[in-house]
Amino acid sequence: MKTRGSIRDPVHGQIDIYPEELEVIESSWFQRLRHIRQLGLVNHVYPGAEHTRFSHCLGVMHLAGKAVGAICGDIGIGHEETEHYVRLARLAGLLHDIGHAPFSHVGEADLFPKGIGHEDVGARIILEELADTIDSCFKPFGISADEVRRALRGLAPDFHFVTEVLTGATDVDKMDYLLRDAYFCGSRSGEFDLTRLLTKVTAAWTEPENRGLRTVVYRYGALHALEEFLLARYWMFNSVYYHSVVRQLEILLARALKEVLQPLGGHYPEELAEYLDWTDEKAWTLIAESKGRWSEHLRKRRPFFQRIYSVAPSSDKSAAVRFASLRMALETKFGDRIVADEPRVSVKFYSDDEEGSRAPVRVETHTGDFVAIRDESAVLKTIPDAAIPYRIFAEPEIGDEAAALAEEHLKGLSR
Amino acid sequence: MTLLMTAAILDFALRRRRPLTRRAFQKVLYFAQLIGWQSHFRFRLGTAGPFSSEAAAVLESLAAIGAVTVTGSNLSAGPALKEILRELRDARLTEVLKKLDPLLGMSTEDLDLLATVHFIFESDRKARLAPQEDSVVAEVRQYEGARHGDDQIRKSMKQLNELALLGA
Repeated sequence: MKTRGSIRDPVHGQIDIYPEELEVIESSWFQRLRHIRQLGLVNHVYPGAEHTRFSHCLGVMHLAGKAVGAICGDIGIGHEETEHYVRLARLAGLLHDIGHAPFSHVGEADLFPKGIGHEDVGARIILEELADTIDSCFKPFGISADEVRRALRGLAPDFHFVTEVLTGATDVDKMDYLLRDAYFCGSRSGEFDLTRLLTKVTAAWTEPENRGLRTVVYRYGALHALEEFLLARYWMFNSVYYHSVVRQLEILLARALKEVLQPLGGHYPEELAEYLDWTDEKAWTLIAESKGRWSEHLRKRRPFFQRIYSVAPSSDKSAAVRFASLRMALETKFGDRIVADEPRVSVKFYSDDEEGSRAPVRVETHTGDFVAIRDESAVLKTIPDAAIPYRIFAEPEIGDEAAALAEEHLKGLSR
Repeated sequence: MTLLMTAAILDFALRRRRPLTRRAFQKVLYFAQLIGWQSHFRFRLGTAGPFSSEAAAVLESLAAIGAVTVTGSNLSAGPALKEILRELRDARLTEVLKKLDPLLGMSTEDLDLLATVHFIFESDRKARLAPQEDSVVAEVRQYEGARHGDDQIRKSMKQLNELALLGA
């Protein structure tokens, strides 16, 4: 039997690789991730951000094993079962982004066939392309391709905490991408106490919002590390992921991709054999050759979508009113030629149980109860609810007219 | 057009059912997208079925401008709703609302289940698993625990079939 290998990683130091995992890593599907940048066009603003989904997935695999190992140890799961869950979590972590399209999240809501997301493509890759490798290599651990799919999609109640480690409110995906993105962007904004979180993570049965499933919670003493983690996310969304120029370029890129995909019906191919070829390089090559209007704008980096409105996140209700009112006025006049960034509430993970979103981030109190962090943290209460900037952009051709309308509208609101 | 269209769907839903909860409205938007409204909302399985944080944010924006009033978990028409909808001209909307109509008489719990069954069926279909009734029932039970019985899940599948929403 082959021995365990390791890979040097700038974020985690050294990542151990089991021989069975190497079989998956060496597949053409996983190697494709070397050609999908982690952060789309963020490298046009932060030149260091050249890292790819390949290294991120290795990092998530590494952290998933550590988190699930810590949980299993804390709740007293036996050695054999622990090994099963750890190996399952590592494999699912390795494959969680296997279906990503070029430039990761750019334009993905509009560039896949109707109703399809990268997670759906990933499920197909796991079941159709990698199943033979997984089912044969991981058989000794009782792991199948379908179990990996179910773990990633939340369809595995017996080990729901594994799903939460991979896709929950404080999952290892976010832990890795915050640290990795901050490192490659040269930013300190994404840093937090990873060791503390991995030491204090555990699982408990929480009722009622999580359907009686054993879910991820944090031991007493994790509060400040969780605050750091959630603040890191808040800062990274504002300073990196939703940087104004990044957003302007991404809007252009999404439209340019739509143009070059027109011969395929305006979306990425459904056939996996064809999808395999779609990388950042292929997309750039097509954009470089395209005569389309948006491709040309993108090549010249001019003109951008015009930024009509941009206000930092705020807890002040009047900021939400001004944004929504202006957006309504602009959308009414210009329709889809206006692009507004949703001030998504999920960034803070102050789960709203009545709405049916996610189970809240829970932390143990000194009395041993697990409570929602929103009730326990004085620091997090100071973060604005809308955790990304209020922004509205307009197509370049209507930019001046939209800006004039915006000025008039905002004056009216101030009266 | 996201705010306007969401406002129009909200107005229609409020005229068809009372009370309308935020949780139920999430499911209404889920089905609206499914039956022809091209929004950018991304739905994932939450604690009560499909949930979109983008949809939640849009609802907050509508509340901010007085198009909707949120009282606890219930929604009602806000003072600005009528005025806002005066501007709306969209032929696609009529068709979407017509198809939504049969869903609006359902209880929040039934809507949760219907949307959950649909989401799981579609996840399997998109993974090319050729989902069968028994496998979908089993997966919904896995996700939901004991919240609903097999019969209720099967009934939801039947309803989805009758409404031509499976594979839509």
